[in-house]
Amino acid sequence: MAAAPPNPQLLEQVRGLVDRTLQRNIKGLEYFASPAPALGATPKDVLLTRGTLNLYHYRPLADEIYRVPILLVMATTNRGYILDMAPGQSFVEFLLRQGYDVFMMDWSPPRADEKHLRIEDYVLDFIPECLERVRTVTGEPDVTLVGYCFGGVLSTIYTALHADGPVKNLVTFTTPVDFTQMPMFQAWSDPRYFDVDRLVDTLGNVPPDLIFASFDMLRPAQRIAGNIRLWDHMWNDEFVKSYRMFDRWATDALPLAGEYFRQTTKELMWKNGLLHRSLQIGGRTVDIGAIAMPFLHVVAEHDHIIPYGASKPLVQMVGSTDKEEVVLKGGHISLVAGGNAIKRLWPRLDLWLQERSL
Amino acid sequence: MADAKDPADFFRDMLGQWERASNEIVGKMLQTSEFSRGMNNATTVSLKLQQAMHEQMTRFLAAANMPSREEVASLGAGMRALDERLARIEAMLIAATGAKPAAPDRPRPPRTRKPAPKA
Repeated sequence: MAAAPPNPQLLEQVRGLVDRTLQRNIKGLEYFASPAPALGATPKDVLLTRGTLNLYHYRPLADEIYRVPILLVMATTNRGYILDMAPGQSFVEFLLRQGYDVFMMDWSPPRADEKHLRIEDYVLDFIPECLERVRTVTGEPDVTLVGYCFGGVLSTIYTALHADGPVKNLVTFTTPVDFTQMPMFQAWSDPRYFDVDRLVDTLGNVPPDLIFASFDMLRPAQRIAGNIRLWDHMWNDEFVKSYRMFDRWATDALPLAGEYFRQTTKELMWKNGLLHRSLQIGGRTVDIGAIAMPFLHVVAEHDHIIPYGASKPLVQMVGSTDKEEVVLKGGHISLVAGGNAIKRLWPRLDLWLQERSL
Repeated sequence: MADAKDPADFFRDMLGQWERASNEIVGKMLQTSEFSRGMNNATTVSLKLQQAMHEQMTRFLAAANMPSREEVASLGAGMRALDERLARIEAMLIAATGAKPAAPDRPRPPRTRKPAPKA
């Protein structure tokens, strides 16, 4: 009896499987032997370095630029290169190519002697000093302030206290105001069990391992599943490159200044001071309703770090008449970086900024 | 994106389902007050140990006539404070004299850009 002819489709599948298995082994070796990808490489000048604070000015990539410069305020928990990943995948590079003059407030690990830094230092000293530098360098009186995550909280507090200041437009990404809507962080910082005073008094600054672990625990299975997916896609250079970029950034958390952490825990996590308009900064009450400039808040539909409920009240509280909330598909990080951001956030933001940057 | 014909797709789906279910189940457990109490108790014990170690080490370094980490850090902080004070004096001088701050000599594009007309 003659053997049945082989199924060509099955043969193709087996060939594909063998090929990928071989590629996985070869590229797996390359993965461990090759250096980490270079990130944050868009050419820039460092205008200011003051302890934990760095102010960058990116070199223009367009022949003609908009009048109003942009100052990006990075979250204090992580490095700013999430906004400047590899060429072609960099938010900063995109803005430069679209004709904006871009500056960024980025953070180095706070030194031991910076453990006393408070929200006041960030909001009443660092942001005003950087705004002043931007105005001096550009010669322009107006600036667009763009804050990501906790950088958005700092930008919001600053503009609420300086409604008549140089900020012409305020943009925030995934910025929380209702801290009761962050159930995981609420549970872990439960005042019945969490002794923030002991933590800060003993450690000074809060170590990055603690920050990283708390983010990692928000999705406990993510790391294991991510490693399995990495192995599965090891044959795919683009996937591996992207995985390495994001993994490097996620594990590169920053320590937090001790007093700043204590104040954030007590005033925001426990008292929900931004939502209740009870937060006092420099002897003044922070009232988000005082913000009157054009305002855009972009939030992610599947944000596991800042759930939508935590950031939802912001646009309602802001006093501006020209204000808008945009909910985009994606998560906390994919909102600002990666393929999702390139398709969704970046062009959306450019459209909003164009008319308001003249 | 997975190939639709790839027999390993089944395992990828399983992995996705396992990840979602685990995140949900373990996530709920991590939100309980029992977990919070346990985690924070463990942190407190660890902090007390660190504190005790720190005090022992400080005594040892003092006995050996060597500077502690705090003392070295405080020297560094003093140096940096001097640096920062100089930078502030420089900024004040620039402001007082009206001089432009030192900036790299690069071409500056005109700030006249307008949005492209809508199609």
